[in-house]
Amino acid sequence: MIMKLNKLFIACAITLVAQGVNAAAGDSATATANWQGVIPGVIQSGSFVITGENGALVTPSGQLMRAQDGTIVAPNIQLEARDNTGTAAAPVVGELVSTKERDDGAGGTEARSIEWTVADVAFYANGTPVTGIEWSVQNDGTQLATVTSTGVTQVAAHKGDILLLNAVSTSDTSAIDAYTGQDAALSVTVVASEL
Amino acid sequence: MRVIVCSAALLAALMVPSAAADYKSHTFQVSTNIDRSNMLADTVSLKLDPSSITLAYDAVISTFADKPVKLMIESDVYTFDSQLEVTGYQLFLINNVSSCYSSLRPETGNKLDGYDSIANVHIDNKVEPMKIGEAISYSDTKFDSASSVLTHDLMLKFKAVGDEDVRSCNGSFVVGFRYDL
Repeated sequence: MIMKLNKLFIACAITLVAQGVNAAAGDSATATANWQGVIPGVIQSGSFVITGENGALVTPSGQLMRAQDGTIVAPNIQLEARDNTGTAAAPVVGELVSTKERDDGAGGTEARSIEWTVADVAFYANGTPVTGIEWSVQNDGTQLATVTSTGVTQVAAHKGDILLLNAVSTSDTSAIDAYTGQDAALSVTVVASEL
Repeated sequence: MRVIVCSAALLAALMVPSAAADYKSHTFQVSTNIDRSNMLADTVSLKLDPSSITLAYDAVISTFADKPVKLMIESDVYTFDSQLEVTGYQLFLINNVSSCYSSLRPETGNKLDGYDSIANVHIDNKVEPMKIGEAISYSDTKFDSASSVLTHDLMLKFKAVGDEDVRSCNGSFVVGFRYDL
């Protein structure tokens, strides 16, 4: 009879410890938050630089808005291609590229011009990338590229020193409604090439 | 004759455990510390709102803008035991990690060094951020049916992202709760 009591007591003690371990390891008294953010920026070249309006060396960014028709609209962000009189690492902003000439390699000079293309578009909401919303990327209302879940399709290139970059969602508003009330971010990567 | 055989077999069976008890009887002293706050952990649910956060970059401060997050603590400990007195609790930071990348794609190959802890979690407008392993105590608190949910204001603040190569960052933090019994 003594042996049976001892066995029962040992079993109870082990159970108590195990319950304590389980409670400490459970999720009931913790909460986790995840965050994510995109940092705009410019990778400069040695011959010309990308600037904001009037040659300002700023980080291009704007505020996304939801229009009355339910679409998400990005504002015009003015980007300018200007002559770089410094270096890629330490750029010095000069005049608009097309106002300058370059050596043609044959003892003379030739005109310079810039072409803009859309390389990548990424939309984030709820702390994660969202691929289910389609976009139209534009230069001052003229479509440059469309964006679907499969990627970017170039529609046209824009030639000129200045790009008035904007974007608008083209998905049905019900797809956008799923993200109502959440913080969102749109990242558009453009490439400026000197022709 | 059959009755006698059955009785003998029954007697033998009863004698076996009795003999074993004589040689293998031991007394064990067993004790354990019971953490009552852990035992009550199931009476609490913690929620961060929002819990999935998309940050906005602020070029003026060269990092992400401050992000407010609400911490909600819901407890039904008052239903657990009418004799139980809960007068305080502790909040603590269990984990707080971050990573930055040279691409919009957060892949290992794009990960940049030096961005393991760019986020600070401030609670209730305190100047000093929460530190992992340091509990903040709240006393004179009573959970009851009228006030089963308490809230705290958290603020995510970020260190400057100085490297021009950084294109995206992500991270997470975990807040823990325990009764202060």
